[in-house]
Amino acid sequence: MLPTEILDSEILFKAIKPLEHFWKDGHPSSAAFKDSKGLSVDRNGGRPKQVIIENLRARFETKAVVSVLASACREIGTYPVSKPLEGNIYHAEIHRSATETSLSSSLAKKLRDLVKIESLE
Amino acid sequence: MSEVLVRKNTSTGLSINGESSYALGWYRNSYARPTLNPGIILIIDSNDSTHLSLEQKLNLETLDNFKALQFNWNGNNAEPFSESLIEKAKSIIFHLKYQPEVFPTARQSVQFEYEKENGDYLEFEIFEDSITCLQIVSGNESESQIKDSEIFSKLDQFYASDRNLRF
Repeated sequence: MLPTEILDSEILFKAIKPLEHFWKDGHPSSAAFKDSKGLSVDRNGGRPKQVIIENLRARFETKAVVSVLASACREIGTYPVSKPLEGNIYHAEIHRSATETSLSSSLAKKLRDLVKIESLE
Repeated sequence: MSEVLVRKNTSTGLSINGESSYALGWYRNSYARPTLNPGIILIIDSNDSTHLSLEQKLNLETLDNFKALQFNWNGNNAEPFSESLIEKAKSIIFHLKYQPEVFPTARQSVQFEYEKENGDYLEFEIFEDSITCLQIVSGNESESQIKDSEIFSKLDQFYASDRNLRF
């Protein structure tokens, strides 16, 4: 079992759906990071990057996988939270704060600018 | 008997006998109402889009495509888009001088984005009952809820000193 606290050194991975409307100029729109249910991500949990990417691609119809360092999330003001699911102990969410789930437009834009595209089809 | 062709589309506005600007004023600002003499036949055509720019047509098409997004369209239980939200967004698109890039969000909103090559950024997030605006100009950032009508002034301000658009 992974520790509940997400360490600054952890990398969070997000699958971006193959919706053309999420993309512009080769990167996702900040709209892809706005989710009222919390921005769903996977922690690396000591797994090799390629395993994580393949796992996300197997579970979701995916155009791209992007990643961001947990410490960078905190530096811009977002709040990564461990949210393990049945069948996915690596699941986490990026929240606006300890009490608010959905990111502000500003935070979504900052996250968009921050993420690294790991895999793109 | 005279015949006046009034073209109306709830998402794209009005034109009267091809005089779209006159009809637009009537529709958008209600400062001019056409008066019709008795006996005039009104023909309502709800499928006219001849006066729209290519960018407007593409954005309207994009918004229509959002209607096809079913529950869980984002893989995280996102709700489908309501008809009224899509119609509101289409109505705004019709009236915008500068066309945005249009994106869906997973929180029952539609996002309009403008971004210049120098990094200046303007975003409107359209909800059914509100609109939020994020503006980043010369590194200065502000985010606030705005009235629907403020979209036009915000957009004019954003492009006031720079006509080098990026679509």
